[in-house]
Order: sequence, then structure tokens, then C-alpha cells
Amino acid sequence: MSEDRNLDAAERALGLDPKGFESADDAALTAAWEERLAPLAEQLEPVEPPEGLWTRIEAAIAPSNLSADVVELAAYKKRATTWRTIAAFATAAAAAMALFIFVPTSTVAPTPEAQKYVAVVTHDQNGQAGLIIEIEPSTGRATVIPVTAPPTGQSYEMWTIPTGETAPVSLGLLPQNAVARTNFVADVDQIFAISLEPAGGSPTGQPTQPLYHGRVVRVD
Amino acid sequence: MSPEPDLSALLAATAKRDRAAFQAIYAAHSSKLFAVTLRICRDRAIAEDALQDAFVEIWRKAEGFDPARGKAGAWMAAIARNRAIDQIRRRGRGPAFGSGGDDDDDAMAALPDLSAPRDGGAEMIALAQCLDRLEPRDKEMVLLAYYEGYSREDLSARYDAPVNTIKTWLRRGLIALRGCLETG
Repeated sequence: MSEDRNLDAAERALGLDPKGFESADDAALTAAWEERLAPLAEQLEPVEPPEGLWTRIEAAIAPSNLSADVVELAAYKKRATTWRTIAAFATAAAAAMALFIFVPTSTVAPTPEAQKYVAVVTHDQNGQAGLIIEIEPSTGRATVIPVTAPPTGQSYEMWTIPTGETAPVSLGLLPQNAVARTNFVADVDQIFAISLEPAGGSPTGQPTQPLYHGRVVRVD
Repeated sequence: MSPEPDLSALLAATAKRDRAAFQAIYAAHSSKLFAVTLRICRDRAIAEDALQDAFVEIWRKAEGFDPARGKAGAWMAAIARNRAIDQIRRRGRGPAFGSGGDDDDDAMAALPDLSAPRDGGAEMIALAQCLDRLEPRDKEMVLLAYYEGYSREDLSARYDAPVNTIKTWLRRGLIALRGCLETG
């Protein structure tokens, strides 16, 4: 059994199987095989990449890529003034898109006494909601409420850019139904986004086609 | 010759968002990784995209590199290989790949001569010796998968054998390889 897992890891290290969703143990087995085989890569004669490639890489990791998003997103902050309007907005958007949406009423119902934060992640072009994340900072609990579904054969993936970071971090595929998350850390103005990906999620670890963006705002 | 920079230390600095350290990694190591992606992609434009993907991933995942678990060069080579294989699985390879038996023979002939390793030290010598103890076909399959990014289907076409047979041969080779490397 463990021999099988080790050989599966060897095959992933060779690139014969996707590495997508390994457990920590399996990832360690794969890394051990990558280490065993790595001397092979040293045998290749180095080839200088073209001049402009570093510039492309620098642009891809530049924080300036994100500031454009921040400016665009400022508009959404005004819109998300009350929890009630957000809920109505989401429902209207879902109705407009004629999509089945499962939103447990208990998570949407306003609870005025608790301080809440919410991120409404909307489409960059048409403003329709794609995802609502309700966050309770006191408990670290978040409710992730999807409001849209990807085209057949493709996946939506959720991302965030933690405060002070420049690179998007995947939060996994957009769930089909509302789900609760614990130990959820998000700051005011933190950016959340949805990208359209090949089935199963981003092959590169970076968003392929970002479509929806939103930021965390406080809801009084 | 300038001394090899300490890639582990540079990765640790990169994890702290030190762009100068990241650029130093690129300066020191991009030509090695480009050789890896070029070999797999067989097309400069695709190989350049794969190399870009690899460096963006190195920047993003630098924090996850653990020097206790392996060498920085091995960690980066694995990322470059994976990004190159992603590219060819999505976009196909350059025309230099798989256009006929002669080309495949060339591909095999052009694989690095492991009996005279240019780098890698004692580990490479041990690996080369252990690979030599495999059935010749099993060794060739491991090398084609590693260097050329052959999939099981590619190997199946090359050896005119069902994919399941390829899988069995490969696993036999990998078991023997690990056994040999562990006993020294």
C-alpha cells in the first residue's frame, strides 16, 4: 500500500500525473522523488533565456498590477452599505442570471448586534455578484456563499490577496453551495476574486482569467 | 568562475518579498531552468512561457521551500518541469517532437551522456549507476519522461505497447531505481 503511494509519488514527480491535490505526506514523497531525479536536470547544457523575459516576470509579480483593481473596486464599497442591500443585491443578481442558488436563510438574516464584515465579489464588466463572503472577525468564522456557476467543463476558483501581499492566493474552487469556513482571516479592504479556470482549477497556481473582484467592507 | 550563489538563502529572502534576491536567483539559475523547459516544450515561445510561469511560481511559493527537505536547485527544477509539462499538455509541443521515428531516435541520441556527467557530483554518479542497472528500455522510459516530458500515452506510442503495460514497466523501473539508490 505505502509502496503504491510511493510509486504514485514517483510518477507525479516525473510529471505523469497531475500533482493537484496531494496530502502533506504524499507531497513529501513526491518531493523526495524530485530530489532523487534532480541531478538529471543538471546535465543539460544551460541556455540563456531571451533578454525580455525577466521584464515579463517582473511585470507578472508587480504590485502595480493590483492597484488598478483597487481603484475599480472603490466603487463597490459605496454600494455595500448595509447587509440588507447586499442580500437583496445578491438575490436580484441570482434571479437575473436564472441560476439555482442555495443560501441558508440563517446566514443571510441580519443579526444587528454582531459586528460583521462582508466581501461582495462582483463581475468586472456587468457588476453581477459572483460570491459573497460573510466574515465574523470575533470568531474567525466565515460563510462563503456562491451566487454563480461556471460554464460547463470549466471551474471557478476563489482567490484572495492578503493585506500587504502582492500575489493572489488560491482559496480553492468556488463551492456549489454555501459553506462555512473557520479560522478565516481577512482585513478590511482585503481583495477577493474569482477566476475562470480549466476544469479542476488553475494549472499554474495563478488566476488564468480573473473575472470577479471585491473587497472586504464593514457592515453596520 | 564566480562562486555559486547560495540559492537557499536567496529563496528565504525571496519569501520575504525581496525582489533583489529574486532577481539574483533569476540571474544565477534561469539558464539552467530554460534548458529544462526548452527540452520539454521543443519550442522557444512555449518554453519561455513555461519559464515565466515557473519563476512566478517560485516567487509565490518561495515561503514553502524547506531546505531541510531538499536542495533549492531540485525544488526549482521540479517547478520548471511541471510548468513546462502543463504548457505542452495544454498547447501541444513544438514541431521538433514526435514527428517520426528518426526524430525520436535523435531525441534519444541527444539526451545528455550520463556516463560523463557535467554536474551533480556524487549524487549524479550514484543515479547514473543505478539507471544503468535498469532494463535498458525502463531506463530509457524514465529518461524520456524526465527530460522530454513524455506522457504514458507518448511512451505507449513510442514502444507500441498498451498504456497499462507502460505503467507496469515504469513502476518496475522506479522500484528498482529506488532500491538501488537506497542501498548505495
